[in-house]
Amino acid sequence: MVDREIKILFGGPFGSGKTTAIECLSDIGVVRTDAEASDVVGRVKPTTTVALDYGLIELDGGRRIHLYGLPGQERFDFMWEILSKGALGMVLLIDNYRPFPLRDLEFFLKQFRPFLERRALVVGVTKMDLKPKPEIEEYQAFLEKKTLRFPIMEVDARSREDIRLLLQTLLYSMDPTLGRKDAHG
Amino acid sequence: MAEKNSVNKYRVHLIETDSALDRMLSFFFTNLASNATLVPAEHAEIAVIDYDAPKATAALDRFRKQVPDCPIVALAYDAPAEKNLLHLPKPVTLDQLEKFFDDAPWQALQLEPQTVETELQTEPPRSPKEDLTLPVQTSTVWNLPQDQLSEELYDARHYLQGWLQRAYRQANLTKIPVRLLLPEGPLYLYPREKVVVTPMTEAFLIETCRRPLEQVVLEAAPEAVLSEHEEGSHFSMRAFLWQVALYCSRGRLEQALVKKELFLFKRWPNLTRWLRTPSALPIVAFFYNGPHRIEEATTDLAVPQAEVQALLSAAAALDLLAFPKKEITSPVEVPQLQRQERSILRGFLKRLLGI
Repeated sequence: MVDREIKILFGGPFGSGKTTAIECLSDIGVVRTDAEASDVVGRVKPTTTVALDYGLIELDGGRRIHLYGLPGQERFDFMWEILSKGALGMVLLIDNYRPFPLRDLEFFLKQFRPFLERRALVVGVTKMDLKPKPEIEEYQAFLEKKTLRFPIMEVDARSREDIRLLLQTLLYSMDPTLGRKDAHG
Repeated sequence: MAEKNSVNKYRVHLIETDSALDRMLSFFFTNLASNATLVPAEHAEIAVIDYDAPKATAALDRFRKQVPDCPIVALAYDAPAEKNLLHLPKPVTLDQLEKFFDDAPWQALQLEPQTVETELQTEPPRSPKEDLTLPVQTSTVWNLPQDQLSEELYDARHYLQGWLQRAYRQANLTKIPVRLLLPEGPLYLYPREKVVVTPMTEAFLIETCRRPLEQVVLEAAPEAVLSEHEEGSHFSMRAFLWQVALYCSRGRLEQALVKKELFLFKRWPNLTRWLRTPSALPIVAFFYNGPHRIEEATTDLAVPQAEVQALLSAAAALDLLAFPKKEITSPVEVPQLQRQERSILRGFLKRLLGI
């Protein structure tokens, strides 16, 4: 990453709202990278694809925020490590409508453990309007049992306001003084 | 990472059967267990029952109606016929109990390895995702009133906040709807659905929270039916208590907090759905990342002390705060930002704030 650019990751299982969330923020249309499976998997499931989402926020002075939506499929986990390099933080979206969302959370926290030991994370739980349980308190208790501490809130990935609040939370968790009016960069 | 404390103990509910073993189990969890603590049924992650006791079947049925998804471990001489009970064979020693909760075998039932690659779930039809103007319930921002308060502290017990907390305790304990008879009309708590129904508008609620309430009738309302209330007056219980606490505080500190020096948020409040103050996010982040004093937040964040006090008072009402006795190492590893990174993030924050 050059001096005027930073990278933020969006992680989470397939269908959790990563693309929608990036669309809420990006100044450009979200770029999706699809690839047909060409390996042995492709013989079994020829229609399997991988999607990598990319969005961009352009600030004044040529400064840029790169948004990367990580593919949710486990077999592309090699991309996770590559894309994580140089990222400042991650927004993890968990789909509460899936059968075992707490397991999903545990899976991603485990996969990104080395990254998360150095970088900030916020967790947004989506689709709670479709399936209200587990509740946010259950997610919090789950994190506490793992002796982990990350902000976790309910979000609707289609809501610009929710996604903005989630990103604000990520930034403030990196530095609560970021918004001081008298602060200098 | 957070230090191990009572928050990290397994939350156990003892399903009471009036047996002698119940008394031993109660003593063990209350006084001896290092990895488990007794909690009410609705907060439990695992339940324990003396399966051989005469009253066990009835007690089990009652518990299952109350908390259907909670795993249950049955202490019994013979393995229970039911397959969905964990079995801990009798006779059981205290060491075996301790080891059982160290091993936590019920977690294996819930946390089997799962590939992330699952089929897309069939969902009910939703509006097109291109439409970002959907009426999604989000939090709103409340600016603290500017009127000069003569007192710096308030006693929540004398305000709607205290009455609400009492009502919550009763409702959560009995699982029966509770009614508060207020001058403006009855307020209902539905503990199973975790919903509050109130006839008051926001303006009326703010006004009600301004003044002490010395006499309120609080009563069980088993006949109350949630579906008979108008939809517009529903709130989630936790969101409502948070909101009421903010309104009752108006910038004052709840008096039970006055002797506390250091404050630490144990959990992050659900601020995408709960009422926020203008600087709620940085204030919560400040106290979440490490224990701090009120004056440190005021100085380091350049925010009004009243706003800090209001948020801490609301957090205390929902048991979101810890009070370390001394400065401890920050429980959160905060990434060190370079100057350029900080500058870019400030610009990003301004974009997000719409500045």
